[in-house]
Amino acid sequence: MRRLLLPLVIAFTLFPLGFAGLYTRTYFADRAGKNLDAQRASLKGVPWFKPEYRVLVKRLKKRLGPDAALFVEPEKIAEDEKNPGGRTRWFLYLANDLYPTRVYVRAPKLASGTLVDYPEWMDLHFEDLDVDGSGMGFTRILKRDRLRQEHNAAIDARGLRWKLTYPIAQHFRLADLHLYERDDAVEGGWRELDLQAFLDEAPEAAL
Amino acid sequence: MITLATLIAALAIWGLGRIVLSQAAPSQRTRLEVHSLAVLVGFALWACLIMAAGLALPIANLGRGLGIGLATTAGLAGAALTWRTKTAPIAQPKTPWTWPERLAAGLALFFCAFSLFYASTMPIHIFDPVFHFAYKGKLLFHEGLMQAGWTDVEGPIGRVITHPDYPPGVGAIESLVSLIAGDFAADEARPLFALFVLATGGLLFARLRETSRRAALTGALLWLASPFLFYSRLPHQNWLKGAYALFFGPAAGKDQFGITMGPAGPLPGEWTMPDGWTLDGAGDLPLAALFSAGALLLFGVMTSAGSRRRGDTLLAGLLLGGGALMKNEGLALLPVALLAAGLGWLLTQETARPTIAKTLRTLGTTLGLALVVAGPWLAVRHSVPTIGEDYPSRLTPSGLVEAATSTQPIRVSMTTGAVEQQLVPRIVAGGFFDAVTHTPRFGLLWLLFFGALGFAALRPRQRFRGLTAATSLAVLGAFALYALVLVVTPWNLDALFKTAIPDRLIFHVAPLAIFALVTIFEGEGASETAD
Repeated sequence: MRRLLLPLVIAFTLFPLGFAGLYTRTYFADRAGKNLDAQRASLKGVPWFKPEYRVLVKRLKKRLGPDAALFVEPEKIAEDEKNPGGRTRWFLYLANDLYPTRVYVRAPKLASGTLVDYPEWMDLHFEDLDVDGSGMGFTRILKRDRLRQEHNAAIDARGLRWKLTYPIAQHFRLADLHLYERDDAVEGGWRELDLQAFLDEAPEAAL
Repeated sequence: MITLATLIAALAIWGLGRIVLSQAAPSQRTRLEVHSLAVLVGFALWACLIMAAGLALPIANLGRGLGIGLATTAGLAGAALTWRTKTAPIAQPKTPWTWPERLAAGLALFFCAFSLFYASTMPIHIFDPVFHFAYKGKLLFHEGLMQAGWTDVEGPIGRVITHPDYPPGVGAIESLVSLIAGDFAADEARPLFALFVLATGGLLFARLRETSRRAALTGALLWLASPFLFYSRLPHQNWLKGAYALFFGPAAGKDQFGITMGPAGPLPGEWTMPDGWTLDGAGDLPLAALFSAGALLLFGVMTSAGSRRRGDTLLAGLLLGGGALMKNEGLALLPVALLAAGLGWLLTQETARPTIAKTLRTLGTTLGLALVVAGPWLAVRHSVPTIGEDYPSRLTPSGLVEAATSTQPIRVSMTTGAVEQQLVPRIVAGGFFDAVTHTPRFGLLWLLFFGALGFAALRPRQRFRGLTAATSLAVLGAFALYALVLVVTPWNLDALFKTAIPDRLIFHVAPLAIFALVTIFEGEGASETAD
């Protein structure tokens, strides 16, 4: 057995050797010589590396500045999103990528939880608070209004000036997002801005 | 990616560790052991220092100049000490190199180089390294430890932070690199993760070299070529198709075999690029490296009467404490290491082991030092919000009974996706069995380890002596601990298993398992002439 052990271990390096070859080929074909952003874009299947999302992050970060606080809220579940899973947690990606700009959400403890908690967090928005306006039974309206009041008071207390809404979906399209600025003169307290125009005003030199 | 900041940080890590090693009998160690331990101790101490500083102020506020100054001073001091100190010569082999040894040496060097290449050329991209670890590095760097970003998860509106109760040791290492770079730069810290692989390989080689060159090469290669360092799954669920895709690429595999059809049409994500959990920047690899090194040194002291290497107790404490900064499991494994050390002492011949007074002093010193190093985190841990996971409160007799009799749905067929309701202990046992027998993920590591235990059971007095026994028992203890934790976890086990659990957990003791299996098969402390 003693004499067999090393040859056996050597034989089983075949798989990692195969991986080393595959990885090296892929690296030189897809990423070698590219900057970090281009390398990230080449990694398919990573939601927060999608090019359109990276553009949003880069410009929004510069436009809002490091001291800003942004309230992020799902607006609705996209019609073509059959099974909203973990890959649709754009609020989480934004909290990381916009940092040090602070990102705020409703029920942060639930939002920070696991994939088991995520459906409950979505239910809070679409069942309890009816943020998508899809309607609810009469008996739940009282609860909805109380929750909304509580949340609006918390938003006011934190002095959140900006709000970004997005659809729950795996795909990311800038056109689906909406940006609002706090404005008490407007019904609901949020005035919608032209997101694209807002982003275009980001100083080019800073990008 | 490797930048100047990466290189300066690497020098600082090695340098600080080398300064500490100067107090731990470097002349009684081989050069490989000195440098391997220096790197690991440096990681533990920098993580501790950065987190301690983070308690007072954001790391960025220390200033880039101070960061570069401290880092280069540590590096230069380490270099000066190396220049002045002689190390123990490697015993000349009495047997000529055999062809398997030459091949193994070449492969070990190849995988050292590939680890560095891999860690340097892939941006951090897996969910856990980004959100559970690097995000905490950002908070540490810009806000300091335990500021609003860590705790503002209560109430109707607040900020998100996944697993706020995970210790930010990995984030601290990323903050060190960022301090030198002048801005937060987790991707520049990623290449440093390869040093955990190299240092662990170096330590295994150095310690097993006392048995024989063949033992040393076997242990080092088992570690350095562990598939789980690089990927957790093959590019296809089917073993043969996965192997084909590994050598010829997923696209070629798809051309050759087509797309597998499930009951609802083509199965999604069938052909993929293999993914990597451990070298991508999560805490599992640092914990595996630091815990295993610390435990190995502690077991050596506890099972040997002579003080072969002065200072091993000091280093063991620092390393075990560093492990507790990388993941909570590091703290949970600390009593496992102490218990295994005690059992190892009992299983060592009375004439060959230290006195009981010295033994107790060793255990006390190790525990004390580990708690000091983990101190910056332990000091604030109680005030961190816990989200969903509060294992100590669940690991009660009533909690265990309740969990052991509950059931969960578990996927029983990868192809059809069929789900079955099963008892939780059965699901957990199945998860461990799958992990241990997952040869594409771990090669022969676990099969050899359990095979070695069976081999040792045939002649336990000869093959299951002090150091080997302590190391094996630590591995088994970790398995038992993690099995208990999985039985009471509030997580859905099916969802957990999809994220390479329990494989990532048992990986924490993989270096110890390698040491144990090689010493069981090759003999503990045998000489080259035994060939």
